[in-house]
Amino acid sequence: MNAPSISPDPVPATAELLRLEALTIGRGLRVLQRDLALSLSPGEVVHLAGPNGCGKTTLLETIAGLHLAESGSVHAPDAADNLWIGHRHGFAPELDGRRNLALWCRLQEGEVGHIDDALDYWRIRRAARRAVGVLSAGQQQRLALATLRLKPGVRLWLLDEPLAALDRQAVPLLAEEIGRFTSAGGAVLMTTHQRLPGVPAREYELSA
Amino acid sequence: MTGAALAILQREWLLTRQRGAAWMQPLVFFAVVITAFVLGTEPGAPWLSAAAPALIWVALLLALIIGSERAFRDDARSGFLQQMMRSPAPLPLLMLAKLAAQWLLVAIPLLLAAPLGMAALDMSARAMLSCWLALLLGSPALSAIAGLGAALTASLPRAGILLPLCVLPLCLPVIIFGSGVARAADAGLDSAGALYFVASISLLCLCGLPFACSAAAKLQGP
Repeated sequence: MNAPSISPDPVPATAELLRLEALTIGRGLRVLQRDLALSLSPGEVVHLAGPNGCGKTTLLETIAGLHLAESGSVHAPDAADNLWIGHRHGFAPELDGRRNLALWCRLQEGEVGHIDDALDYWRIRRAARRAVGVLSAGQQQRLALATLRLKPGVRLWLLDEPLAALDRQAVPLLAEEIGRFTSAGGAVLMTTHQRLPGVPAREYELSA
Repeated sequence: MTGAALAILQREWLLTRQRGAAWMQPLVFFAVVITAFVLGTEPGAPWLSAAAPALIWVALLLALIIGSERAFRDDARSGFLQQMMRSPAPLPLLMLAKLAAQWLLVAIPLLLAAPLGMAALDMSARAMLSCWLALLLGSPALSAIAGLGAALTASLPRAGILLPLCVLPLCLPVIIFGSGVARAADAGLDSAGALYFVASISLLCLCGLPFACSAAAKLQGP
């Protein structure tokens, strides 16, 4: 009765941008989470939720390729196709903001020509003339978020606490940026302890 | 790809310029060690010029270790090491740029100051020339090994003690052959063999250590 199937496999309407399968992550010798499964399609925003220390940052860093997974697999666009913003941004405190962004572009193959536009959008054009070390935490965070505009080709954003230290005026800027990115077919995986206004998001809860 | 490596070189240059007189620290150390030795021995002691090449090498090595101690510390702390790992360019290439910057910015000033130290130690002109050549060819190896030590200890507290302990034994071959060059030249022998050996150690280090530095950087937990 095993008639050969002639109909081709149904082609998925939207290709996944990220799929985690039975992923176990850890830091040092400690296992943080076991058997994570998650998939992200274009246009989706997923909030990683969970108590402090449950492995949200480690999960993002594992997807970003900075840690090896203990087991399981991450199917993601390679490093050139995702953009990761962690807690520490890698800016040299002695150099000014603009110079740091220019160096970032050359290291990550970003668009140097978009720096002015990014600085204007995040309203830090003047602050970017000063050394990063003397900027406030919020200004440094804005500078890091400015890199979102410097790699227009990526499809996946991995944002670790993007709202940390941001003031009330900057939160809608990020919401707008994410809205524009997802409507163009990008997907966002982010950790945050507060919700972004106006951004429909799915929650993915990590256990303690 | 080479753009990323050049960006690392440029960043190191800008940081050295921005940090002011910090680049002179190894240089001052080098001068103080040599001066202390000259002042501490009896004037005109005949063995001083015989011991001079070894002294110059040891002073250079210690100065290089001091100069490269911070090489990866600040990068590990600021998250720049992670940005290097995230770059589409191969990490060993970026590490090679990092080690090259260390050599250019720390070792070159020391090499330029070395003839003064040699003169203070009463070396003959012929020994000085071959000793300097050996320093030029051997310093990339010492600088790269010190860089590896700095990468290994980047996120450790009190690395100042651990760093020389893990770096010094690895540097011994360069010191042995390097100071042999000047001794041979002083005795009127052909020193080319030892010189080639020093150069080959440097080449070996430049080929292998960028990969070792990459592995060490990946070990640094954030």
